[in-house]
Amino acid sequence: MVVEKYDLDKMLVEVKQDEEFDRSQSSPRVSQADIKRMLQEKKKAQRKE
Amino acid sequence: MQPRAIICDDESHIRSMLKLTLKSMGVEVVGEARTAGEAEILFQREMPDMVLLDINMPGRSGDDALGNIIRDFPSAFVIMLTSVADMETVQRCLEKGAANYILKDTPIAGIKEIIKETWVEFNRNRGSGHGGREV
Repeated sequence: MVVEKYDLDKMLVEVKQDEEFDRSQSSPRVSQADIKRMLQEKKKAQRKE
Repeated sequence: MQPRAIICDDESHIRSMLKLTLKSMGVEVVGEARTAGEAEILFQREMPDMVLLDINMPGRSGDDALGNIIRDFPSAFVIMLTSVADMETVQRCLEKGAANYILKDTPIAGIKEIIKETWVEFNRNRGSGHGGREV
C-alpha cells in the first residue's frame, strides 16, 4: 500500500536524522577559526598530491 | 556582471538576511529553496555561480544535497552556512567539496568577508572563473 510505503520512508528519514543528531552531539564542536585551519590543511594536502 | 546565487534554508528570516547580505555584496539572488530537494532542482534550473546551503532542513539534510550537486556539477561553488558545528559534519562537508563552511553565529561582516575571500580564491584556482564576475 502506498500509505505504508510513505510512512516507512518518513520513518527512515527520521531515524537517519536522529542518528545524525546523536553523532553531532558526540563529535567535538568547532569554531570558525578551526574551520579556517581545516581548510588550510586540506589545501596543503591537495598541493602535495 | 553580477555573480548569481541561490540560497537554501528552511527558515525564511535566514533567507531574507542572506539575500540582503548578498545583495549588499553585489550578488544577485536568483532563487531560494527550503529543502535539499528544492536546492538540487533549483541548481539545475538556474545554474548559479554560488550556493549558500543550510544543513538541518526538513527531510534530507543539506550535506546530502551538497554531495549530489558536486557529483553532478563538480565545479559548483557551494558554501555551507549552518549552526551545525560538530567536527564530523564539517569534515564531511569539506570532503564532499564544499568551498567553505560558515557558522551561523558569525557576524554579518564576517560572513561577507568569508564569502568574498572564498569566491576570490575559488576563481583564482579555476583560472578565469565565472566570466570574471567579482563580489
